[in-house]
Amino acid sequence: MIKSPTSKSKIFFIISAVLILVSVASLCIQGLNLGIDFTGGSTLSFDLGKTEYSNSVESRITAIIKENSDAKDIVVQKMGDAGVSIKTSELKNEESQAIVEAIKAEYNLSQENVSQVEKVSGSVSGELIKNALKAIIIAVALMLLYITWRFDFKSGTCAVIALAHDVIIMLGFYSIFRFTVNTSFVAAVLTILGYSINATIVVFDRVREKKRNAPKATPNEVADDAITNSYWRAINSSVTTLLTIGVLYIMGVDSIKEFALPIIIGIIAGTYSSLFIASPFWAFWNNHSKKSKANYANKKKKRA
Amino acid sequence: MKAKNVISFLLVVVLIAAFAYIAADDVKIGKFHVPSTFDKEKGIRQGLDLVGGSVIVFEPDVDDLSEVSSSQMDAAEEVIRRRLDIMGHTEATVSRQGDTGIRIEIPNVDNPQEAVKVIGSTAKLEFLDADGNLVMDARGNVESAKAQYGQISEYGSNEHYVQITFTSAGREKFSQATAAAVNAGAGKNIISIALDGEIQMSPTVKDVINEDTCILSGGYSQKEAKDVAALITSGQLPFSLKEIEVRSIGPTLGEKALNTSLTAALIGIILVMLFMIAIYRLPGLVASVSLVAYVSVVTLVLAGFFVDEWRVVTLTLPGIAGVILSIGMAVDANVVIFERIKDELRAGKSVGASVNSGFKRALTAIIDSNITTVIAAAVLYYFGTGPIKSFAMTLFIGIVISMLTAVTLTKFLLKQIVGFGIKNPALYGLSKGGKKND
Repeated sequence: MIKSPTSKSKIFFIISAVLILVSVASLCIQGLNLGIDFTGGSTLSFDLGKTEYSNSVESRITAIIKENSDAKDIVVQKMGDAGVSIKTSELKNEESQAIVEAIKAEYNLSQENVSQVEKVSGSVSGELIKNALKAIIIAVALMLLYITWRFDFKSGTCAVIALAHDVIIMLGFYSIFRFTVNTSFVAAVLTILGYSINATIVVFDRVREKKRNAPKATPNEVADDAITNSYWRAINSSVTTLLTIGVLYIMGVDSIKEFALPIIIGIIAGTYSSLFIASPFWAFWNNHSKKSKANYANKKKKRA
Repeated sequence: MKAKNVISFLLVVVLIAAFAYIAADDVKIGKFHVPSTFDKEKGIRQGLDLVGGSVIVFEPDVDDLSEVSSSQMDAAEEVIRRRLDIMGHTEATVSRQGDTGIRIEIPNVDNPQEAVKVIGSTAKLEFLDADGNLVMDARGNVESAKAQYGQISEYGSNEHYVQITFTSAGREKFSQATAAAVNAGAGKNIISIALDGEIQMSPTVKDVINEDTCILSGGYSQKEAKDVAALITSGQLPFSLKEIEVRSIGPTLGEKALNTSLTAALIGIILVMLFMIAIYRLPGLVASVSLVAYVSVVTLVLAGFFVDEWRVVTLTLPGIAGVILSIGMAVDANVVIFERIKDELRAGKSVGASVNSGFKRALTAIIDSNITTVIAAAVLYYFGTGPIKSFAMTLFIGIVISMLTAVTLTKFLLKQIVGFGIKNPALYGLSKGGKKND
C-alpha cells in the first residue's frame, strides 16, 4: 500500500485524466451503442429450440423480416445458448405479428418459444432521456447540498468530481466496447452515484475527524492519514459487493447481465476515485486556495 | 454476567433462525399457515419480467395530443378495462401514464401482439347501405354481442358468428334501415356491417327486420368471434389508439430469470459470509448472523408480512439487483465498524472498549453515506417508471433495514460475545502482534 498517497497524486491524476480522455474521445468519435429504450425501435427474441444458431439462420431470419415488414437497421444476433435476438426500427403491430408467425413456421416453434417482444416508439425514448438526465442532475445537486451541510463545500465538490470521474469512465467503457445502453444502464449509473459517494464519504469522514483531532496538520497530512486508514475498508467493502454482483453477472439472464456489468465497472472506478481522486484533490485544492494558505500561515505564526 | 450474555445471544440467534425459516419456507403449525415469501399467491408480488407477461402503453392516435380531454382518457381507460375483463385477463391492471398514456400490465399473456391488436381496436361498429353511407352506428343502439356457433342460413354449414343485441332505439333504427334497403330495390337492397372500417359482411335484405338481434358473420374462427363480441360489448373507444411501448416476456424466460437470480443471490450471500468470517473472525461471524436477519426481514417486508394490503412493492429483476446491492451496503457498514474496532485494538484499548468506541466512531460515516444513497434512491423513485421504480424502492427498503441489522443488531450480538469473556484481539480480526496489516 502507498504510504503517502498525496505525494503521488500527480500520478493518480494523470491515470484518471488519461482514462477520461480516452472515454471522452470514444464518446465523441463513436458515441454510445444506444438500445431501443433510447432510439425507439423493436426487438424480438426467440428460443430456437432444436435449431443451432448459424450464419444461414441469421440470413434466413433477416430475409423473413424483410419479407414481412418495412423494417430498417435490422440486427440479428445470437443470444444465450439457443436463442436469437432481433433488433429493428419500430415495427407496426401487424408487422411484428407477421414476423413472429413466419419465424415460428420456419423453425417449427410454438408461442412458448417467443421469449421477448419489445417495442418503444420514438416519443417515449425522448421522454426517457429527458427524465434520466433530470434524475441524475437532481440527485447530484441534492448530494452536493447534503455533503456541503455535513462536511464543507470543498468536500462536496471533490466528491462530485469523483462521481463525474466514475460516470465518465462507465460511459467510456460502454462506448469503447459497444455494449448496448438501455434503461437499466441509467439505473446502474444512479446506483453508482450512490455507491461511489458512499465510499468517498467514508474517507471524508476520516478527513473530518483528523482535522478535528489534529488541527495543525497540513492538508496533505490529513488526506494521507484518511486514505491510508481507509484502504482495508475500501478493499473489503468492494470485494463483498463485487462478490454478490459478480455472481449475479455470471449466472444471470441477459437483462440482469445488462444491469450488473455497468455496476461492476462503476464499483471499481468508484473505489479507485474515493481513495485516489477525491481526497488528494481536496488536499490539492486546500494547498492552493488563498484562504487556506492564509490560515496555515496564521497557524505557523501562532506556533512560532 | 456470562450466563446472561450466552442466553441472550442464543435467544436472538434462535429468533433470527425462526425469522429466516418463516421467510424461506412454508410453515404449517396446526391451523396457522405462513407461506414462503416466494409464494406466488401470498408472498412477494412478482413483476411481469419474473412471471412472464406484457406491459403495453397506448396513446391516442391523433394529430394533436393536447386536444384529448381527460374525460375522453377516462372513457378509453374504462373501455379497455371492460375488454380485458371480457377477454378473461382479470389480473390485468390499467393505469394512466403521464397525461395521455394508458399503461396496461397483463400477466401470463401468451400472445402479446394479438393482445395489442384486440385491446387497441377502436371497435367502431357501423351499418352501411349499398352506397357506403352510414345508416346507423353502435352508439346507443347496440346493447351487447355474443359469440355463437351454429347454422346461419338454411343450407349453410355450422360456423362461428356473433349475435348482436339491439337496444330498443337500435331495434327501431335497424327496422327503418332495412325498410329503406328493401325500397332501394334489387342490387341495392344491401346492408353492410363494418368493424373499424373493414366490412365484415354485406347481406341482402329481402324484408323489413324488426327484431332484437342481428347476426354478424365474417368467416370467423372461434377466437375471432369471441374477440369481436368482446370488442362490440365493451364499446367504442373515443379515438383510435397506437401502442407506443410494448414489453413482453415469455413465462419460461421469466421463470429462468427469477430462479437464476435467487440462486445467484444465495451463492453471493454465502461467499460474503465466508469472506467476512475469514477476514474479521468473530465480528465476521456476527455480521453473517446479522446478514441472515437482514435478508429475512427484507423479504418479509417485501412480502408485506403476507398481509394483502401491505404487499405494495412489486419485485422485478432490477428490484432483485437492488436487494443484492443493498446486501453489499449492509455488509459495508459492518466493514467500516470492524475496521474502526481494529484501529482501537491497535491503539491498545481493551476488547470491550474497542467494540464500544468502534461503533461510535463509525456511526457518522455510516449515517452520512447511507443518507446520500437514500437521496439517490428517492430521486430514482420519483423520476423512474416501472422497473426503475421497483429498483429504487427495494434499495430504499434495504438501506433502512440495514441500518437496523448491520448497526443495532450487530452491536448487540458483538457485545454479548465480548461478555462471554473472549478477549483475544486476534479473534477480532487483528493480526498477531497488533501490527497494522498494510
